[in-house]
Amino acid sequence: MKNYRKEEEFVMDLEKVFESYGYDKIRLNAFERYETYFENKDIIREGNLLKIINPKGDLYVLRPDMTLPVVKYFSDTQANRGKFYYNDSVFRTDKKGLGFGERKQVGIEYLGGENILSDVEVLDLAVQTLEKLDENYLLCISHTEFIKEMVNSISEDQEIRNQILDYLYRRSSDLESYLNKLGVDQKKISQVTKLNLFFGNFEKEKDTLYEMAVTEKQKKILEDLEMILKALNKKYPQDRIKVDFSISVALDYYNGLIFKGYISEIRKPILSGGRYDTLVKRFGKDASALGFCVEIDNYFDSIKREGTKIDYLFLYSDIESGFEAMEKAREMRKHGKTVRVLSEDKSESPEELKEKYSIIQYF
Amino acid sequence: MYINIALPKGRLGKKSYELLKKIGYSCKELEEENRKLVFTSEENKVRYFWVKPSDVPVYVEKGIADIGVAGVDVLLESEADVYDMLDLGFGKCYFAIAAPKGWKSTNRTLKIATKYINYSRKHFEKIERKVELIKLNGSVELAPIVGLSDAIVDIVETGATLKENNLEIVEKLEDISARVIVNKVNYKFKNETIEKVLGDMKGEL
Repeated sequence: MKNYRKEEEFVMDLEKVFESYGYDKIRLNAFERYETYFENKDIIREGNLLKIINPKGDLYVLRPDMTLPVVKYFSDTQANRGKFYYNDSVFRTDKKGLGFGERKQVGIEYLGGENILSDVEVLDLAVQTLEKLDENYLLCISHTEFIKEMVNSISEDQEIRNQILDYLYRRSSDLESYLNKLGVDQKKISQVTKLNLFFGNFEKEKDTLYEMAVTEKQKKILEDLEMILKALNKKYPQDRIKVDFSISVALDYYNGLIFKGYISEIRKPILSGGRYDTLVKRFGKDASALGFCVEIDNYFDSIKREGTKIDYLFLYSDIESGFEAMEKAREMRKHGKTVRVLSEDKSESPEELKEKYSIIQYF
Repeated sequence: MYINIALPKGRLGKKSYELLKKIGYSCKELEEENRKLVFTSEENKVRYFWVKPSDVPVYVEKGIADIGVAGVDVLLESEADVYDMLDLGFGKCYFAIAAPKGWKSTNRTLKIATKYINYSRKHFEKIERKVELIKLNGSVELAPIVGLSDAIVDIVETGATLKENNLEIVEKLEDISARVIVNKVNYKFKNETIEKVLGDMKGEL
């Protein structure tokens, strides 16, 4: 049984954390002009948009993400800094592209951050969020520009670049032979292969990471990352934060730091985020932008099987014992227990009942 | 920590199991004749799922299995979001377009019979060729003979079946071999366990 109140309380706890860092809650209209998304097709596939026509005949979409509306809102203000959090629904077509899909997202956007310290703050909040979701969590970090530098140095051809990115996304064992076929020099092949296989803590694998740096820009990226992760490593166990270049290849959308958070119970990233300055620039504002969102519905779906049991089930056989059970239940509820009173029928097996109720008593 | 492995029923699965057995993941239960689908060895901390080949990517993508063995053909068709981390080098064959001997392509919409609908759609979209895809579940070679399609997209090992049915290869496509695929999230949480299996397997190839 889904316990909506518990879910809301959980989200409110998160909101309190965001507020304590000075983030303001933002509520935006669910309808966005179609053009906004059509002009930014690299963010979300056009086919995933749910379109709506207003009485005048203008085409709108139900917002498929929160980041873009927040950026749009921010770019319309005079402010040069905005720290926002949201807890709202986003809408997309379902996986097959035929039905409607609505899901809840909770997240933050830090617009106009100053320097590395704002990156640390956002990542810190990401880890705090993950800790609340599950003690067995992982935050995986990557950097789009680091990957881009590497891939772009191999070939000018966009098709080849995309093929390499696809291999990196799958940690594919085909990458090496592909690069050999292209005639890439051995040193670079070894660097790219290292990147492909890399998974580990920055501090522990520092040497391997710096060996991968081909260009000055890459070196600088690693130095920045090192500084950020050092700050995090002071607060959190080292083995919870990993560098993993396979987490995303959505390199058009993000420019810089990207990260995904996982908890052991869910086979999909539960949290994802990154830097998207270029997106803000498209809306005419020059500001640093970093944020993340939590797929909170996935989380609640994964835990709904447990933790929401009703404490007691009282089963009665006739009206008389029913009254007795009701009285007992009233007593128990005074002590904060949840109790359900039902007549004893055989529609549910004892096993099914045990799933839902912690203790079953017969009257 | 247990490692959960999905293996495809049939020759490929048996060969993969032999390899896993060599590196210390034997499972007595699996070697006995029975109709079970899950086999556990408490001793070696391994659990095997013995499933239909095309279901291996599903078990791995959903994380029921940490790793699995699947042919590139199955992988490309399933489009599963998994890591493809080790080429086992066996189960070799290739994708091909085949048609009756002497057949010549024309400009009209091609009728293609295949088991590999997703793969074929992608291929023909890439080369911008209009086709009508006809999904079959077996004996694809029959389709052009009886006029159900112009050509077929299928996997070819020796080419003997094609020859027997008077078909010839029009174009050779992707090479296929057996791969060890890995669930992306389990890889992160069980990194050492999974890396050890992958490393040991690689060492035996």
